[in-house]
Amino acid sequence: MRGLDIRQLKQSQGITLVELMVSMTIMTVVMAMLVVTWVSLQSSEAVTVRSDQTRSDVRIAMARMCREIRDVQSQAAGQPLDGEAPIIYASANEIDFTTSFNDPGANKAGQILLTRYYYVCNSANNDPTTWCIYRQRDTNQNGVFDTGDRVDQIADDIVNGITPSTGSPTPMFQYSYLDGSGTLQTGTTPPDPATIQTVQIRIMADVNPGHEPTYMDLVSTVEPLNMRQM
Amino acid sequence: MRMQAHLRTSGFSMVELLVTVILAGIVFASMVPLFISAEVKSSGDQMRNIALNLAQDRIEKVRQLDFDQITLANLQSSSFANSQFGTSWTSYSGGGATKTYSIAYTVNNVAANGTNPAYVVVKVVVGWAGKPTPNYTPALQIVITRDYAGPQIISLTVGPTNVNGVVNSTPVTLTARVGAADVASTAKVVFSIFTQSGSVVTTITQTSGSSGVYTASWDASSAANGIYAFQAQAYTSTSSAGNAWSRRATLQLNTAPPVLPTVHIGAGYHFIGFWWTASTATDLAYYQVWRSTTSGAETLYYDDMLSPGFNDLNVTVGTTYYYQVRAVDTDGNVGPLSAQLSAAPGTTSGAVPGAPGSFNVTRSNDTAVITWTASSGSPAGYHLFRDGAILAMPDVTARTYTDTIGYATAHTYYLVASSAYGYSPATSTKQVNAATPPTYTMTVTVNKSTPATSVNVVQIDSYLTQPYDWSTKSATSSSSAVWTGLPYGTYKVTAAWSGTIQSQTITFNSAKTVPFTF
Repeated sequence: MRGLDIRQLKQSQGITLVELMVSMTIMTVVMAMLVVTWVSLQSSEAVTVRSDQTRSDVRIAMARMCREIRDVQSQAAGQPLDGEAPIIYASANEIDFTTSFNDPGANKAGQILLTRYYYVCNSANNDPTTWCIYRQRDTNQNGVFDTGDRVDQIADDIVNGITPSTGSPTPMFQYSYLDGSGTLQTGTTPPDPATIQTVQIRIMADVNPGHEPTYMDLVSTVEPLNMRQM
Repeated sequence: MRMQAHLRTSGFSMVELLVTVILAGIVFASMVPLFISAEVKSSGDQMRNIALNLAQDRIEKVRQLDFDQITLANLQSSSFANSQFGTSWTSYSGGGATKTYSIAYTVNNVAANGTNPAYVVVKVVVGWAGKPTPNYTPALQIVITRDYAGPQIISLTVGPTNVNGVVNSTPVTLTARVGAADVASTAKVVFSIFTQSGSVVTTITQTSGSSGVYTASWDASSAANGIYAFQAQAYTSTSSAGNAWSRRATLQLNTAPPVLPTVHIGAGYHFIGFWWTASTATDLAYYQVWRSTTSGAETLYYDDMLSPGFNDLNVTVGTTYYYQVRAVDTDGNVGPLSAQLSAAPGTTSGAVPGAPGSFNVTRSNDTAVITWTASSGSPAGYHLFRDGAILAMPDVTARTYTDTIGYATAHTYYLVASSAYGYSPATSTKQVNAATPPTYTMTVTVNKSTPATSVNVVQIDSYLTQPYDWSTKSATSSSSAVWTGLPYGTYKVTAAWSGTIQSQTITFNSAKTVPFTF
């Protein structure tokens, strides 16, 4: 311990007030940068998760609707809609059909049930989480949709109803069908659903809700396979 | 350990701190491209997803086309098939902005050879201009084979129908349309009608159409109500068949409600009995009895009643009961309620009538003739039972009843007499056995000499498990078609001459000549 000189200790004067203030200021600046960056990352991650969730929902909705509408089939003898075409009703934002696709967890294996997809967009309500695609199954099997039937929300943030404008929305469903003279027509209201040849599905979702609008605009078409066998 | 050096240390200098801050800034700045890259990749994924769905969209739209319409020029045309195709598509990307995707088609036609039909390979590639660079643009391919060598049916309708889509009048008109490209090559359209179990009801060939529309008329007057399948298939002159298009429809011709003629009522000792003349509706299903203790307030009391009479034992002496009866047919048509009748159960007891005497049942051709002599004790009515269920309440004075039973089934009968005091004992049971039906000769004449008329005879009696086809023969104006040894029964005779179909339903109980005039 020879090197420890008591004089040197006495010469040590610690940190001056100026040094302390400068270092605190710099620390504050550095900490502020770190906090801003951290908050920004958190926010970015939340937006990314929400965005990915919406993209995923829309992709699944499109895949599910395509699959289900492609495999529509008429109800069997003894069921309420026996003798009807597999597609019961078709409009710009709703399609009603009969299919044997099951509900998860429901004990209805093999049942051909009335089912519909429909889009609800109240543009006066400025909440995109209420602009949804729903799927309803006639689970009480009475041939009509009523309060006893199961309804599932398939996707939200769907902006067909306000794109390109609320006065001129984009239809979710468009149909190719044969008119009375056998000529192929396209439109959103086929006069006889039994004549539908293909169903075009277009789903537009805002994948950046609450921020600058960023749309994912999916379009696909399906040819129902069992329309000619009723 | 040089403690002195440590003691000279006086904290970080300003320069050191600044260097540290700059270094931290460089590190943060180096992370920015990572975020940008992630965003670009995410955006690229989204565009590829949109492009993939767009390719699928075009592939499926190709499937709706007639085979001959699948050409490169058609697919590239922005106006073809109501503008469903074309080489570009614009999506909305938010905030009023749009993004245009380009669509490239490849169409490769392969002609038919000796063993394989013609087919076409369609490839769809979707891309876009600008970033992200379309290194992995989706491409989908489909192979479509010319499935049918014959003309295509594109629609089939069945009518006339009511608002519920039920075919409710005859003749039933079937209208089939062949595709525009096949109008010239179509020689005939064959319409087939099946029962729900798959049995062929009839087949109608139509050789003349108007602009690809072919119609057939089916006389359904003898067809049972129910669900039928209707099918149409078109052929070329060389008998190459196209697709078979089918649809189902419910046939319900009878909408007339069954009417009850007259209801009679009488009171007995602690019961009320009433009976009615059986409904003349041939499709009667059952009766309903309505009852109340207040006039005009009857409610359904007894449903699914098969016999034309009813004795109500569930009554209270001193109470007046009001009744109405109505009939329901097999199509669910409900007849009007009969006029209201009332009675109170009797309180006077007396001797019930004796059993009817000399009860006898004999077969006479296709009928059972039942006879008896009067009971003792002034019976007010007789109740005839067949196979355990009441059949009729025959006339009190005539004391005979004829029941049409055909030949196929044995039946047992007994008889009970009744009066205001109750029922007599039943007579002994008598049986008529099944019998071999007599056979006759059926001759079908036609008025056309050429071409020969095709005549088909089918036995349609309800006791048969399915209609029995007694074969098809040819007839001309100079040569009738003759079937010998046809058993007694109901027959449907169908004649087809030069694409025109006629049919007749006949009760065949003697040698008969069935004429057809075209």
